[in-house]
Amino acid sequence: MQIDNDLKIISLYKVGKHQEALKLLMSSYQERLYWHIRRIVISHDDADDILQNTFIKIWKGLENFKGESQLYTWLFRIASNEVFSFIEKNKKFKNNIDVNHIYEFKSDAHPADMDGEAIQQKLENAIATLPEKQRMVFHLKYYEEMKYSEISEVLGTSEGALKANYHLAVKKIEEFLKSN
Amino acid sequence: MQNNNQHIEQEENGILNQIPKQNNFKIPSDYFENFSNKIENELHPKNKKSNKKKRKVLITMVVNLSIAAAVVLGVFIFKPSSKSSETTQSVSVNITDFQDGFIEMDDIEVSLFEVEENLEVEIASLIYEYEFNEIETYSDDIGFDFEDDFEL
Repeated sequence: MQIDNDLKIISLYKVGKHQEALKLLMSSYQERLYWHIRRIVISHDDADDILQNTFIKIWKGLENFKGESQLYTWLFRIASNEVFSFIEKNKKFKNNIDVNHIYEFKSDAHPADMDGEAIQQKLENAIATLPEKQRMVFHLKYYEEMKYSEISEVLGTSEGALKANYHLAVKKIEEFLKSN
Repeated sequence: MQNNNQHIEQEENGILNQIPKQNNFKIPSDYFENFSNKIENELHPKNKKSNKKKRKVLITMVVNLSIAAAVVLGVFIFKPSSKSSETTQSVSVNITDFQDGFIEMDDIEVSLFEVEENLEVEIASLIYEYEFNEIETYSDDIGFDFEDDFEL
């Protein structure tokens, strides 16, 4: 489904149906890329700015997209680069998270044997303690359910390093949850 | 093979398997719909073309208006005195009513041939027989005051 959509976006763009290509691109990826960005920068306003820049770069670069990688890993790579540029530019960027303004924990989504709201809150706090790149690996693997080979294309890191990184991230989260 | 991978991932996730995956971030309502519209408006080639067209039309309008303004200004600036008897400009008017030295007309057409000192107005023979000291004319678009006496 995703590959079909990607091929359709590229072919629509190549035959000059830019409006349709853009619509399909937006409907397929804006949410996924938003969450990918938001997970790292946490603030909605920052995520909104970065997402805008991301789509502008994607659209400008689509003409030169050669298909050497999959479209969606290329899109995530652009978004990731935008996130890292943002972090680099905003050195004062800190993970001071005001939980009440950022999160909306839904208590009805938890299994019966767990205090869902509290555990979700703890999980978010645990994820927030991870360094940005590790958090990105965690997001792509855990939430996006990407394969290591795909994450490797996105982040330009070897699969072995990614596996170690993810394993470390999960361990840190576990420790945080147990100790809190 | 796929089941094997799932099993490995489940083991890899450890305690996370007990926590449901859900999105806990707050987001403004209709954000994605609005964002999509915003980006499409910004990047859409068709909109870009129509913006270019609009800009082109606007520039043409500005140029045309500037020329029109220059012509109108020229008429007023070079509005001659009545001292000379030479005809240098002609003004033709469509007279719709004439009463007590007062003329109403539908439109004014001013043509400049040569600008010197004088202005002679040729008005239809309808009013030749009348003599009056001052003529006021009105138009929907242009107010044109004839301050001096004219030879009719």
